[in-house]
Amino acid sequence: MAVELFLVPMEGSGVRGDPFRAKYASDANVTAAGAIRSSRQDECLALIQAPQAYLDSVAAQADALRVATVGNIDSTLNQAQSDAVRAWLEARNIPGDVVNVGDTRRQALRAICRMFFFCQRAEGIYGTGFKKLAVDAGITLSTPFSSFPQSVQDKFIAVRDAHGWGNLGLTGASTLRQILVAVAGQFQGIEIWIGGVAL
Amino acid sequence: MAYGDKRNRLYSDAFDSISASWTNSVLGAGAIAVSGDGGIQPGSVNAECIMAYNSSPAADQYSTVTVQTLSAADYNEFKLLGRTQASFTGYYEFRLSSGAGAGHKYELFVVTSSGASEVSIANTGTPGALNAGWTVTMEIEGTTLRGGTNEGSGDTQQVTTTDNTHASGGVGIDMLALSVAARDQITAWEAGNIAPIPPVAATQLIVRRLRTRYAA
Repeated sequence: MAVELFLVPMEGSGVRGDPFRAKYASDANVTAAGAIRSSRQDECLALIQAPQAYLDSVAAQADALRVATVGNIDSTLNQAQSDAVRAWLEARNIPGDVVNVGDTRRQALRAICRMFFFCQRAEGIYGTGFKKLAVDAGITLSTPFSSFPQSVQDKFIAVRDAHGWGNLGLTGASTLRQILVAVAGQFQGIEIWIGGVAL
Repeated sequence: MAYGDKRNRLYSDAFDSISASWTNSVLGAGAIAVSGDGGIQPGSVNAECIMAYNSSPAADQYSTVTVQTLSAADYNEFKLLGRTQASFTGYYEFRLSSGAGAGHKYELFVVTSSGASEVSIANTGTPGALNAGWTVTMEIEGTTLRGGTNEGSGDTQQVTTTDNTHASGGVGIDMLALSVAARDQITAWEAGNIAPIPPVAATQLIVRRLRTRYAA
């Protein structure tokens, strides 16, 4: 059974029988799956184990992007592949800066997951992932921290403090893009598993 | 550390009764009851039955149950809960479920706040029932979650993933059965920390072994 990694939206309502989950990961064809999400209601990196024909059908969906297979995860992204990943991320208010030409797919996926980890802690404390919380408040990747609504500023600081971090070199002029990249850097070197596969 | 390493037991229960160490029927859920032939089972049918242990292990923690059975004949499930938050507003869970013809499924979930907020973060399935005496374990170490079973051939990791939603918290048990006949039972439980054995304790262990050797 083939195993591939996709960037996909989350789906579900969070109730019994319909949990929040990676889109395309609960089909009858899927024999194993994993999801590292930004929050339960926006996007995630999904690992899907399924017959190749099903994985190809997922890759053909407009809202899904196949980033790696187990076989090519250590091969590098060329310009077109890097552009595709960055475009998918930027369209969803996730900084594409963390993905570059020449990165291996594994490096790119790890960089994306590190941003998601910070967002997850906000969801644990406030019920909404940090990126979604910011976007719902009208914040874009270019909005400086000083222009965030006070409640979003307070929540960012609380989540940062929950990790025991300092200012991370951020100021009131730092944009959401810079903030998400900075917090991702704090998870450098962390062991990352998704659905039993080490990234 | 890998699955199975450095488990230091702090708490255990053989469930002759449900002691005051537990808060049963958490948040208005159904109660877990002592069964007639040993162990515990859902106290009611078609309802989540949850109880939480009143003491919490460290953030790096594990819990293990010994099952009497997990029938493959009808839908039933149980969950080990970890890093439970104050007022049970969130937690991690390792769920084992079965259903007629569906085989068993191992799933890791995170519940992120009270209400409808269950998130599936890893799952895999394998056919067959769980038999008496087999164990089911959830480990949480740093941001790594691991679920495993001892299905007669050693304690083996079945599913793992990384998540950063909850940093610390308590432990508990959640059981569900859709019919009386399907009520699965748990006959023992233990929980504790995942941590290296402290150097002092390791030294004491060596001294004790040397004494035993020379005494003999």
